[in-house]
Amino acid sequence: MDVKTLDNKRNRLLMATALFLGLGAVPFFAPPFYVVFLNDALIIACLSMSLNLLVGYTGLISFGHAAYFGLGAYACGLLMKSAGLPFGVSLVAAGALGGFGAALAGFFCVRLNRVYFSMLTLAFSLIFWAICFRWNDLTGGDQGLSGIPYPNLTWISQMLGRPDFSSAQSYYLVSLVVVAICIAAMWIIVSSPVGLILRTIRENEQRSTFIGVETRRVKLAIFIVAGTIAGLAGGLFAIFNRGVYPDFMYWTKSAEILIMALFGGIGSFWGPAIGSLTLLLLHQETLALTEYWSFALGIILLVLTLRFPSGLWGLFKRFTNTRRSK
Amino acid sequence: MNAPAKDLLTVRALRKTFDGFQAIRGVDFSICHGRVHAVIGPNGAGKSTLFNLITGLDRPDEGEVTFLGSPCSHMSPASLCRRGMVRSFQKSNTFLGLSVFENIQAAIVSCSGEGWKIWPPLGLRFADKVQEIAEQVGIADKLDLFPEDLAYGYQRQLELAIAIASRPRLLLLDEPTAGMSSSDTRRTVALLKRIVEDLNIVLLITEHDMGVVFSLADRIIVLAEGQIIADGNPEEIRANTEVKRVYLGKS
Repeated sequence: MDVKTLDNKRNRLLMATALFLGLGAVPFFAPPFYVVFLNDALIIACLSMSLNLLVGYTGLISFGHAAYFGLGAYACGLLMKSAGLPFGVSLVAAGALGGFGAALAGFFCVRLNRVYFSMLTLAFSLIFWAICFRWNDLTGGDQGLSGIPYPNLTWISQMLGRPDFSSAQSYYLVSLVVVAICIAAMWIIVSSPVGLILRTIRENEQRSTFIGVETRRVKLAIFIVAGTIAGLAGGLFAIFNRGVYPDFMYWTKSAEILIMALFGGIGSFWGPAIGSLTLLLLHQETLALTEYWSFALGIILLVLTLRFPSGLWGLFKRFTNTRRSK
Repeated sequence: MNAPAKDLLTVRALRKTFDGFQAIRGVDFSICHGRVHAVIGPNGAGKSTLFNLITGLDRPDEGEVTFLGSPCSHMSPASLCRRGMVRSFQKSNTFLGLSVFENIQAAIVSCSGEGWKIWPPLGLRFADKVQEIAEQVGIADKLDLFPEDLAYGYQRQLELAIAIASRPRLLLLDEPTAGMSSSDTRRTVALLKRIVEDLNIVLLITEHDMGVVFSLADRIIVLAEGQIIADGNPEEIRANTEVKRVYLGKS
């Protein structure tokens, strides 16, 4: 048992490293179109994985996760565009504002359970959205915040000896590193003692208090962590998108991330990432064929929920082996 | 060192009303010596309510619970657990999506103060302790299974393992043999006797099965309609006419 587990661990680390290096190699040979697509996918994958800390690991179904993504996006966009701060500082501030918003909302949300928790997260996300939507002077209201400058990333292309790299290509590499750090942090959390405690809360919160877990505090902590990572993803996305708009944090965006996580499989660490990648791909492909993306999405969801409740990852696992993964 | 402390638990003038129904009306007792204390009483006598009040799941309307010398009616179940007051539940109450190993490991992690650590990775830490506890309750060969794969009797033993893993000084068990077959019941009684000896802990149980109570407890508190009507050793309780009338006579 010991040796196998260690082997498993080493294998997983190797696979993750290979994935990272493989993704890092993309801009060196793939056309810019794919780089842009992958950049989008990376950020959204990171976002839905952060939601999975709540939904999959702690059993907290948040309907308002996009709020922290949006807060981060506005923070980064505003600081770069209006305050002229450097990208690094703005990005850190994006994470901080996401975490702060999550602390504010989470303080109240973690007092409730099940659907009441979900409703309260939704309520807070609507409040945050309304503030950004209405605060014309600061956020540009429904017009949003456009024309956010790209950070100066020529040092990256120079360092790599590829002066022909566009800002988008260099920025992809920055995103990749930030996302990788976030994912590594999440991996550390879920495989730590805290990770096991989170799962006891998911399985049976009352019992968890009777083994000595202050469940409210733990739930608040993970809510803040998830909000911080969502904020960082938002900051990355603001620059990637060169603009921030209120619908980044609208409730439909929250639903979209939740669907991605469920689609990929909330019972696993990587499931939500696979879910977001697949849905983004499908979106892109169906757009070329039909305007009825929502219809297609509905059908996909229907089939998935009825036939494969453990998501794409569950399906994949069923093919590779049948052992329980978590 | 772990000899039963004086006044491990004191319950004073405890009252609790639910929607006008007086579930507990003025209960006083303390636990200072002895090993196994049992609370018995007919259905609806208030046994589970009393347990919930003691362990912090419910707040009393009046009165006070003192554990190890400090008042604890305001404490959360979690902090009571960390101080050594641990309980189990009437219905099997485990972490269904976690393996038997992880069920026990989680309790150890939490009670050893590592519940907030994010480094190093958990992996198989505490495996020795998990093994030891699993052996004590007799589920050492079932660590890789999930609770729902276990037979009912083993689920209750897992419950006990989780409780022991929390390093109790006072262990409250709510009907530890409820719903068990007679062979499971016998095994559980033997198990509880051994655990009380080996781990040097004090047990407070509620129980329906008089056979279990009289073979296990060295002190019995009889509850009826939210009040204590008798409190003494098994011989005294057997001889008490009031108890015979309200309880033993009926069953």
